[in-house]
Amino acid sequence: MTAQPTIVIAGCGHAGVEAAWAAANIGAKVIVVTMDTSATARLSCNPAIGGLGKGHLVKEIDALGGIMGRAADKCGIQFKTLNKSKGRAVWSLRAQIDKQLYPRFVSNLLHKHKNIQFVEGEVVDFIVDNSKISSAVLRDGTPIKTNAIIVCSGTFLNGLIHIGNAQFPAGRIGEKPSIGLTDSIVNYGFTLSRLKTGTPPRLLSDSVDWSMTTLAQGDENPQPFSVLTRRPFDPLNIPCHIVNTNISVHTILEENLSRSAMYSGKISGAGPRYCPSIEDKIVRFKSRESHQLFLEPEWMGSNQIYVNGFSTSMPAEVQLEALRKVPALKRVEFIRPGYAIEYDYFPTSQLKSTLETKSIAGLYFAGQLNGTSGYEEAAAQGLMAGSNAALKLFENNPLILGRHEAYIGVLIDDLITKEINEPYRMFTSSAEHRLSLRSDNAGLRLTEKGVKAGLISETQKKKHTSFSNEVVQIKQGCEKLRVAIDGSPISLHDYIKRPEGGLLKRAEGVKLCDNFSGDAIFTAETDIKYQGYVINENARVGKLKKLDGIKIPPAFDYHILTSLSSESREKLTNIKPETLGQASRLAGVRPADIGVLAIYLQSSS
Amino acid sequence: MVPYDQETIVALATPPGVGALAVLRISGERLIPLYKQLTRTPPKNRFASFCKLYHPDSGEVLDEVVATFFQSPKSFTGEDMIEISCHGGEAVQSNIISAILCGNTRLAKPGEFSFRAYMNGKMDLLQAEAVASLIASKSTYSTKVGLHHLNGKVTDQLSSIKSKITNLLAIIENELNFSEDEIDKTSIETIAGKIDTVHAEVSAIVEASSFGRQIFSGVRVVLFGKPNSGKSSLFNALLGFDRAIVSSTPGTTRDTVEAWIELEGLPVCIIDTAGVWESGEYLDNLGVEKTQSELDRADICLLIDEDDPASLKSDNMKMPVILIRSKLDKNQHNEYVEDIIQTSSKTQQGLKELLTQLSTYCLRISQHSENNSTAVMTTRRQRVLLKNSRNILHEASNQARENIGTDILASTLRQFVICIQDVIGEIPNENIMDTVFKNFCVGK
Repeated sequence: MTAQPTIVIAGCGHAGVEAAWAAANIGAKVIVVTMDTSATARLSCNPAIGGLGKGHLVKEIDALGGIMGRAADKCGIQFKTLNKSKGRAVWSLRAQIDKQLYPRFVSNLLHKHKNIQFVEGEVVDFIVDNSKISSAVLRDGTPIKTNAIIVCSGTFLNGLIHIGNAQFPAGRIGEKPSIGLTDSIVNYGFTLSRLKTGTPPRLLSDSVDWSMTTLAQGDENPQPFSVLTRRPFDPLNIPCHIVNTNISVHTILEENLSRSAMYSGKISGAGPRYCPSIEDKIVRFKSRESHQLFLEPEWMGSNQIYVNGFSTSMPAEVQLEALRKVPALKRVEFIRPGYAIEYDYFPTSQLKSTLETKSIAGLYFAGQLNGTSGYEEAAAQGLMAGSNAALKLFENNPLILGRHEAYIGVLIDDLITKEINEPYRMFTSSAEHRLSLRSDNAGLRLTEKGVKAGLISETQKKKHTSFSNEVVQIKQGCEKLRVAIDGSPISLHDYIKRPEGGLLKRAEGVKLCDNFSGDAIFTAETDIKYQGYVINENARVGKLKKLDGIKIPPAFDYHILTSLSSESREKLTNIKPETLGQASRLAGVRPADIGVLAIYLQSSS
Repeated sequence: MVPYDQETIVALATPPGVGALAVLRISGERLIPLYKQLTRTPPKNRFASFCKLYHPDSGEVLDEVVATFFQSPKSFTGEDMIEISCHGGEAVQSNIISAILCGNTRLAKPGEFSFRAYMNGKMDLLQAEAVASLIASKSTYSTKVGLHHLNGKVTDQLSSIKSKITNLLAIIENELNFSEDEIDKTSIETIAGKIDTVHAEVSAIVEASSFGRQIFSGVRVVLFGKPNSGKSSLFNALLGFDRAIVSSTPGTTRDTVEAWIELEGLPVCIIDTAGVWESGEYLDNLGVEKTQSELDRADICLLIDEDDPASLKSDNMKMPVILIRSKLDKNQHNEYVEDIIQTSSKTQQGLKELLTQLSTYCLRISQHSENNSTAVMTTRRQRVLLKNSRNILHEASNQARENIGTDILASTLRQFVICIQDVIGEIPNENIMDTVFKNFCVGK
């Protein structure tokens, strides 16, 4: 038997911890190299996990044996299902998180794992032997022999913080940036680009006039993320508070636009459109007289308040002056101002769908350095990179999720095929199979695959099996049971399919569900309701999926296809898509050229 | 290298047979040497030169021709092309073709020129289909519609429909991407209203496309009446020459006979049927069956009788009918009956009136398309897909009103977009390729 393979993880944010956990569960020896071992799984921006699209990711991470869901359940202080008015496929769970508890919980989990070892330090270089990773090199020159490196450096690569006109190098506020690793990667021929993201100010809780705010409570019947979390779920329900900006706030910001780091052109990286800074919002939505701000506690009993909706790179005094025009914040004090951070990212067309780089075997990228935004997106990539690095070293099949199987699949496929001009955030609209990719059926979609990959614990396996059996039994029961509707009997199944129908709306259904869990009842009912639409959706996307089955040889020379437009040829040559499906999703490649490529690949095979 | 075999292909581009002139086309990667061999002069790009054509091996003069060289990529196929107008005699044509086939040249397969044009990005799928339609087109008007496709105007119209729904989807998707407290929700009425507007637009194209079939496959006019009621005489009179056998024995026209005329730019197929009244003979039963199937496909039915054409009318005739009283030269009916055309094939009486009525019908079809400037779908593939897409929109409209969940509504609208993309050919689909190019003839 060969020796246990080693995987080095550079960085210990949300991508790093999931990568470490997955690789260790599969059986690799994992060495986590981090500049500060106490800074594990920090929530550097908002004190929340989940949300639209992102909640789906957390559920999927959980279904694949990851950490994020269980940690959020343990450390959450308010749970809310969003989008309840818009159809069950887009319902998404979000939890307010205790920022102090969360890193501690995750850190404990990792430290207890027998396959994981922590090293304090910074990976600045690596040694490549025959196009394969052979060692990671730390700042002090120490080499660590390893079979793979997963770089999860977040915003730390050449991080540069901007607050108004001031700027200084940092990975996060109060933490050093990582300098040097970028150069090493670039030396191996990788292209590099810059992105920016921002975070709002943190307020001193005592300085807020809470009587002038509106309460925002969590759900009365909260749902947990993880299948491992015990039911009934009864977490804390600490309220957030809402205040509104007004014209005076906007005026101050407008007058100082030139002093915003972003607007004065000091930041070269593109920022996210969907999580815009407050200065961005007042410029783009000029007609709106008010924007909602959520005041969120950063942890239980915290004196530190996060101002959700007020991300900014204005000078500190402008931020303060503007916020003080909100009645409840008249005498507000900052713990620290909002800031923008600019960092290096590596355009992800350089990656395979396993997140391994195309040019160096054993080198993986996961998380924000791939141009994504958000804890959940990072965690999902970490899980996939960690799994695939380990699976490859054990010579097992890779874990690749299709766009029709998981949001994680959509995320990674988008990353490797689409051009990213702003930090990538998971949206449900990116999924063409949205109706099948529900939060509540993540386990049914993915856990078997997780089991095959070696990611799932015995406990989770048992829970999963009993859940899926229950769903099947309920659905079978619904087909057999008949209910009288307007005097004529129909099956309970057909009744549930009606817009007004429901499993528990009939005595027969209530009786059927007597012994089943609430989760199984919900999933069975939703499966039945969505069945017809999912069939349509699959038929629609099936055509496109076929293209994913057509492989393009890695060394394919697009120059032999003289008929391709030069733009398409250049894109295809640079990006080297693995399948015709990927090729068809590349921005700037003409459909007609895909037709040509399809005919060529088929005639030559 | 190109994504198909690289051989040089040749074919006759004009119909086979004897004519004054014939046109040959050659397409291939590098044709300058071949041009020089054939004409003993260097080619001048896009210039028609009058020259002698030599056999490449024997040096024998084959014909005096006009040869034009089109340098890649500015040619129909996107490759180098040579077009040769030679004399129309079959011997000349076949001599020239066999001379050209001496080198590394082979005969083209049906549709191969268009296929290469498609593969070289010279035309999109709808345009390729248009080429097929143009070749098959029987009349002035279908040529016009074919050209409409070839110019990409239909693609434009469908793209505009697509973008209307894509824009609506953008609004819906945006609302799905953000939570209720972040952005305002568009009302169901607004969404349903927008869907209905596009639905009407698509419906108009679907409607127009039943005309599309008539434009391309022709208007079918069926002559129907008792044996010996003068159908065949009228048929011949309409055509202006003796096409069918006219005799006075009932049931002469045992099978159907058809012929084409052009009215108002549309192809019109006139079909003479066997009499429906049994004469007890076996052959006539066959004729009756054939007649019924012609009636089922008819766009217009001419009911012909010496006395009372209205009596031939039955409930299952859903198409417009024209009532005709025949053989006026024999039977004098003095009373004028409204809506019945009095004809005599012998004296040509009433023929003009009949042709006017038929023309009016054809004019309505061609004007319908012209005035609406609505895209007309020319192939069955396009019509079926477009009908599907209309049904999908109908469903979406219902879903919006039932407030069934925007996730489901969005999925339905996405389905519509893909369906339209399918019509335009934005989604590569090798089956379409096969069917589209299969319908071509050699030389295109």
